Order: sequence, then C-alpha cells, then structure tokens
Amino acid sequence: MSLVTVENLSVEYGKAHPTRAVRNVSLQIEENEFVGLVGESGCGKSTLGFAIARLERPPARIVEGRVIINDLVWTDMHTEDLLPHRWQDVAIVLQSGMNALNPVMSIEFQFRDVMIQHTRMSSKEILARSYEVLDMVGVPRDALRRYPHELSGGMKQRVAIAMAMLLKPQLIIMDEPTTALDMVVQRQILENLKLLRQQQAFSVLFISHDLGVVLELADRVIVMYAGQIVESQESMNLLHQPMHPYTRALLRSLPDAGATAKTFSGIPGTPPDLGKPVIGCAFAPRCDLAQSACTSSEPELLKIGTSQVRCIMTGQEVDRDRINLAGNGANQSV
Amino acid sequence: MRYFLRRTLFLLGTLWVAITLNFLIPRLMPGNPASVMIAKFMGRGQQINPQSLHAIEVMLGISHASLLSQYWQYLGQVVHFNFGLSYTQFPYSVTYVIAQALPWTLGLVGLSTVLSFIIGTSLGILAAWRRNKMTDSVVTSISAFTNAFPYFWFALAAVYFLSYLHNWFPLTGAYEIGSTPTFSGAFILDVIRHGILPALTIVISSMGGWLLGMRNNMINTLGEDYVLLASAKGLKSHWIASMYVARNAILPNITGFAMALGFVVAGSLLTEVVFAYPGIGYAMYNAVINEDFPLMQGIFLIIVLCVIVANFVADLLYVLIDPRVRRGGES
Amino acid sequence: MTESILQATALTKVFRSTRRGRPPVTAVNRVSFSLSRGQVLALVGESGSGKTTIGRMLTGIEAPTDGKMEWEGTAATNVRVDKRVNQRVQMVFQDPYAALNPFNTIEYTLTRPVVNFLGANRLTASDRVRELLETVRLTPANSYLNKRPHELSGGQRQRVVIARALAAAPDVIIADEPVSMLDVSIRAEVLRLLYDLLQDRRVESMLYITHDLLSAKLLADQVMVLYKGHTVEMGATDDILGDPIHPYTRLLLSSIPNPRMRQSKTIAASYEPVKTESRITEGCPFAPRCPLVMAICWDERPKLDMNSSGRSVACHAVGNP
Repeated sequence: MSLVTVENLSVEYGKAHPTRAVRNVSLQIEENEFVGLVGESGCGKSTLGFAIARLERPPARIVEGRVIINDLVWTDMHTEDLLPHRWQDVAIVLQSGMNALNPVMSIEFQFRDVMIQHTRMSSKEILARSYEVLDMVGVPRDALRRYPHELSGGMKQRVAIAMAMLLKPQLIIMDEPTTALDMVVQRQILENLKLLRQQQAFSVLFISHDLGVVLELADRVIVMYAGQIVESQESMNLLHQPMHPYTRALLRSLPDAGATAKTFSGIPGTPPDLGKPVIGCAFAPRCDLAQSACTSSEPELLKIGTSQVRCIMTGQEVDRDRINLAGNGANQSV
Repeated sequence: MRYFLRRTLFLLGTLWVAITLNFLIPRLMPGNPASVMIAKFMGRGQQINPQSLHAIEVMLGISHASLLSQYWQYLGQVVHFNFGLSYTQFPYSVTYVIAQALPWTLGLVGLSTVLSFIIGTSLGILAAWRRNKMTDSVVTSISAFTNAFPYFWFALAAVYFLSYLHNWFPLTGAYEIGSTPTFSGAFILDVIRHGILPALTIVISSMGGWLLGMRNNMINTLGEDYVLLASAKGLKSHWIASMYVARNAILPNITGFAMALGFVVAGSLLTEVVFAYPGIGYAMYNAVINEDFPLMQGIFLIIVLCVIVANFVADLLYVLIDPRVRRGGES
Repeated sequence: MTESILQATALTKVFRSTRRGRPPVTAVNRVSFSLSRGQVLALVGESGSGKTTIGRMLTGIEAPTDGKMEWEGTAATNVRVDKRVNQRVQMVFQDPYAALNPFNTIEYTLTRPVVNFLGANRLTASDRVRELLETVRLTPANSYLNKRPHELSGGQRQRVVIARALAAAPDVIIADEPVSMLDVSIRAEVLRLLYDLLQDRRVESMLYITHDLLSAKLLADQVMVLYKGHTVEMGATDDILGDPIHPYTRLLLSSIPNPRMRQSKTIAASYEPVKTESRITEGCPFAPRCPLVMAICWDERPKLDMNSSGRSVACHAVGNP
C-alpha cells in the first residue's frame, strides 16, 4: 500500500457557477518518495496539494474522490478526528515563509505549541527537539528566540522547513517553497532539502511552477494542466523523454544553460477557463500536434510502464518509436 | 527604552501645546467675563460702579497684567490643578465642580465603553469564526443597523418609550432627587437603576462599530498563510481562533479602544444632556450655555489630557503586544 | 568601437534612513558603465544589489547622489525635466499589473507617448498604435484597442508595457526584471519577443536588469554583475557565463537549478553572510561570504581592473585575469 493514495479527486470553487480546479486526479506517493508537481499558475496544483492535506480553503471544496493516507481515508474523516494526524503524518511548507509564520509570536512559541498539542514531551525535550531541527536546516539556534520579521527570507523558509520536521512526519507537502527567493538562497534551500533526504526518511510532494527546480530534486514528476494530470514519469525519463506535448513545451521554455535563441520558446495562448466544460483535450488549442480527434473527445490517461501520459498523439507515437520522439523535445546541452 | 523616552517627550510636548492653547483661546475672545456676569445679574441698561466691577474681577481672578505674566501664573495654577472659581456654581472652584462630575462620567460612560468594546469584539470574533452561518448573519446585520443610528435620536427615543411612556426606567439624573450620595446598598441600587438606560444606549449604539471592525479584521486574518499553517499543525480550533486569529486581528482595534477611552470624557456630552446625568458632559453643557469660562477651560483641559494620555497608553500597549513595533523601535 | 549612447560615471545613490539614528544605505556605489548603440547590457544581481536603483536613476525616477549620466555627450543631472532625455530612455517595469493605469484603454495608453514625444496628432497616431500592437504580437490589433488592462492576461499586459516603451521610439529601453513576475511558459514568450525585437532592430539598445543569468545569456552582449551596489565583474556575456572569475559570479552561476546536477553541490562561498557584514564599509562587500577571503579584503576595497580583452573583475584574491 502506498503512503498516499488519491482516487478520482475533484475540487471545485464556488457553488452557483463552479470552477473545477482539480478534475478527477488519481495518484500515489510511496514511502520516502520525492514527487514533484508542476504546472502553470491556475492549473490546480496547489489546490490539489491542499486538498490532499484536507486544507482546502473555502470556497474550494472536494466534490468527489478519496484521499487515503496511511490506510486512513482522510476525505471521510471528521475534522476533529483528523487533528491527531495533522503534522504528525502530514506537514506543510508554504511559499517562502513571508506570512507562513505568525508575525506576533516567537519562533519558539510556534515550535512549542505544535509539540504540546501532539506529544507529551517535557519542556526540556521540546527545546532539545527545536534545536535539533534548526541544526538540520543550518539555522543558528538563537533564531528560536526571534520573531519572524527579524529573519531574512531564506532564514524564514528554513525555519518553516525545520518546523515541518518537528514531529518526523511521513509526508511534507511543499507549495512553491523557493519561489520569490533569491537565486543563491534558493540554491541553499535546495541543498538543504537534498541533505535532509539523505539523513531522514520522509516523502515530499513538491509543488512548483519551476520544472528546473523540480527535476533537480524529485524522484518522479507529475505534470498538471487544466486541473488534470497530463504526464507522470521518473525525473530523468521526463527530462530526456518527455511524452506529452505540454511537458515538451515546458522544457523548451526553461532557460537552460545550453538554450539558444533557436531552441528556446514559450507556449502561445492561455489555459482554458475551467468554469466552462472542457471538450476534448484541454491543451489542444495550444498544441502544435493537435488533430481534429483531439478536440472531439477527452484523451485517457495512458499507462506506459510506470509512466502515465494523457495524449492520443503521444500514445500512438510512443508505441511505434519512443526514443525518436524523445529526441526532439528535450534541451540537449548543459 | 528609547522608544518609551521618545513617546514620553512627545506626550509632554503635546500637553504643553494643549495647555497653552487652552490659555490663549479664551483670552483672544472679545468681551470680559466680569461684565458678562454682571450683565446677567443686573439685567440690561443698569450701570455698576467701577469699584463693584473691580471687586468682582478680583473675586473671579481676572487680571489686567500682561499676557506673559498671566501665562506664568496660569501654568502654575494648572500644575496645582487650580483653575479658578466657577462663575455659575459660585463660590465653588472649578476643580471642585469637575471632581464632583468626573466620577459619574467615568462610571457611566467609561464602564459602558469598556463593556461595548468587550461585547462588540467578542461578538465580532464569534461572527467571523462562524462566518456565513446563522449567528454571523443575525449578529452582523443587527449591528450594521444599530451602528447607523444617530445617537441622540436613539437615546431620546429610548427615554420617550421606555421611561416616559412605560415608566420602566427613571427619566433623569443619576439617583433619586433628594437622596444624598452615600455608600449604602440602597443608594448603589438606585444609581444602578438610573444608570441602566443611558449605559444601554451607549453600549448598543457603539457596540456595532467594534463588532464590524473586529469581524473585518478577523476575516482578513483568517486568509493569512499562518492561519492555514496553524490548522495544518492540527491545533485545536479554539487555540487557533484565539492565538492565531483573534490575537493578530485585535491589534488595530487596541489603538481604537484606547482612543475611545480617551474620548469618554468628551463623548459623554450627548448622553448626559439627554439623561440629565450629572457628569462632565452635563457640566460642560451648562458651562457653555452660561458662559462659564473657567469651568469650560478646566473641562477642556481635562478632555485634552484624557485624549493625550489615552494616545500615549495606546502607543505603549501596542509595543507590548506587537513585537514588530517593539524591536523596530529599539534597534 | 561603436559610439556610446549612454555613459554612466561613478553613479552613486545613498538612501538616508527615515528612522533617525540609522546609518544611511549606499544602494549604488560608484558604478560606471557605457552602453553602445545597438548593444544590450545586462545588470545582474540579487535583491539589494542596486540594479533596480540604477535603472530608476537613469529614467529620472530617482536623482543620483553623486556621479554623472550622459546621453551621447549631453550631461543630464535631472532627467525628469528634460523631455529629450525622457524620450530617449523608456522603461519596462517588473509588475505588469501595476505598470498600467487600470482606467485607460490600451489605445489611450499607447497613443499618449506617440502624441507627446513624436508630435503626432490623434489621427496619425492611430496607425502607429496599431503598428506597435502588431510589433508586440497582439494581433489583430483592433481587438485590443478598446480593452482595459484587467481584460488582459499577465503576458499580454507586459506586451502592452513593452509597446508603450517602444511608442516613443527611444534610443534605450530599460527593462527591469520584465519577466520575473510571469509564469514560466509566458516568461519564455516575452523573452522571445524581446529577443526578436532586438534581432529586428526594433529595439536598438537595451539595459536589461535581472537576477537571472540565463535570461541575460539569451539577450545581452555584455553583463555587469552587481553585489551590494558594487560592480564585481563585467565583460562579454559568453566570457562571464563560460568562465566566471569573481567568487560571487561563480556562486550565482552555480545556484541556477540544473536537472543534471542531482548530487549535492559543494559551493565554496557561504550563502548567507555573517551578521556583522553591514559594518564593513572599508573592505570588499563580498568578503564576509567569500571562500577566498584574505586579510587585505577586509581593509581595502578591490578596484575594478580591466584587462586587454575588456573583462573587468574587482577581487583581490583572483586578481586580474
């Protein structure tokens, strides 16, 4: 049994004219697996991440499907019954710490209250654990007595990661944890995460719009478009053999060190309005491979080995010549 | 510490400006209080001899010395809380009149302000926490309604219907006319009986503002990332509501509350006039009607003092509860 | 050597603190550069490097505390009042949501600079406006004329901002992080547009302000790397990216996410400075984080030395290349 199993999950915003931000998503996260979830803004990746942790914010609500974490069906559980499992099983890290820490409380207080809630640790043990997690992310111990505004952006984000580690959760959901940070600070946090993963066993769902960052860290990458999963592959396979045209377009739009004006391009057009029903493939209007069949019926999510792809064109091609296809998509050089 | 020092200096500076203005403004006004008083006593057309005029002037402490020496004298008096004699309540001193009136105002208006803040803020927290549920819609629409009342109209209506037509509450005053203020149980009950209606009008009319403001702040705070994170931490909902939401949402209201306390003395005017309540507002009303300049000056000074001190306290309080201001001010 | 269109000499900006008792902040410290006609210069640095302040001084939004700015030999100390200079330099801002007046139609937004700077009347301006919209690939132009900013996506807005900058037919465009607020795919589109505009000579010279060395690689001929208001390294783009010399440039380059570098990196320089670094006024600004730091670095500020191939580095440790 996987650590996390999501079955056919759909999330909507609003009641009168609902926008379906997440459409029938199924996925698994294994123990000690680092999964990247990428897509453009508005593709539903954050909505999905929060829904998995049952933190969907009104007016968002789960309209169908199940989330099973550690054999517990989180979607069927009452809010009160979930409390003991929160942070203990699933912790979260939000975008670049700006407001993820309560500005009027010291870091120590915000570490302490979650440990008091979930454990029977003594004050001494709580302090020891606080120091321990700060050491893990390389933040000086005196940060504990400080208030969030006294720390730099990178420092705050590392404190947020330390806080997520407090109860040794099995899954940490990170929503754009390095967006809005400086390049060098981002690098430091990425290195920190790599180091943590070597030291401890935990799974991560890493949500980001930056495929470059995700590819560097993740074991497996899930690509979302218009509320659906369009591709899921091992990171290196995705980099070298992207299957979905959208993934390939995303890779082309990455400013890689080897990118030149010839290989570098964006994706024209905009994602569809999910307030209206989507007919056919949601990516078809922006796709350079689109055929008439693409606009008539919605493609299935095909399973190819351990990978998944939602595209009728790629589905056919892959069977014929998978290697050939991969050759023209990825950026080639370093 | 630096912050505290700076605030204190600022307080003293404002105080000095207020006192000086309070000294200057009446003296810049045309007319002589003594002649006003005499005119009132004797009626129009009658003459008074210069000796009598001088006697009255001396009695009232009106001086023909230079403005500067008067100013020095005035500053000295202020420090000793000596504001001279009241014209209308002669021979009582202004200090005495104010001392008589102040407790009533502080008791009635002060207590109702505190009460309305506590009730309004609590209901605001409740409404925001149960947003879009029954409690919220009922509480919010009622307070939007009461908040829109003009106070004097509401108070007059309350007096008319509840006291005049139905006789449920006494019409005027702070206690039964003829009884003497003592600390007996019967008298205290009498005071409470007289106080209920004016207090109720204040609480009802000002509570809505606190409620709506707090609800608004709460809803803004509820959208903050740290509140989402708090629920992800699996903390109990009352803990989140109080420590993560209400505590942050109340910050802007604290300043407002301290200011409101400062305006208790000034804001008592309407209530006390409508209910003929023997507080500062009523005394000020009478002083203005009767051109009792020393009393007016004294009351104005008290009002200004209250507002300035309340501001000062608000600043200090803010520093205590918001670390951002605290550290920011120190470094 | 091509003619220099913009020459900045020892530009300095000191911000006095609004709070008394705090030391003033030197955001830009004696930065000099020259921009030739037909050239793109990238100012690269992180937040706090002073790159945005330089752009704001060149457009007259901020007045320099010290130093000189010359446009083809015309000294300009107060850009704001000089309409000629104003026309010559136009700005593309970072936030396309804040850079456009929400009440004005796209047509009005684009007509104004055409009328103001080019002396066109309303009729002749309308052709120019259509042409501008087509230049930034907002086609058909007619369908965008009467729209207001809120009806456009972020990428489309940024195109309008670029069109507005082009409208005055400026000599220099200053683009301050024009794509950093946009989604990755849209970012690539806008970068592509800027690249094509440069190729087609629609934009002659550009000052490209960015934190992203890779996008600088795509657009710029020359790169100037800034750290805390100081120029630390300057040279041709390919040289800088291919062979970074200054430890800070190396740190920046090695920070770029790279899917092929899945193993942990050993980056010599420390990511975050030790606390006392704000006190350092004498020495090298990068000394507190520098892996190669020597005694002299704390006491003496390294000079920006230029070698024969036009490459400059300010560093005691690596010396002159």
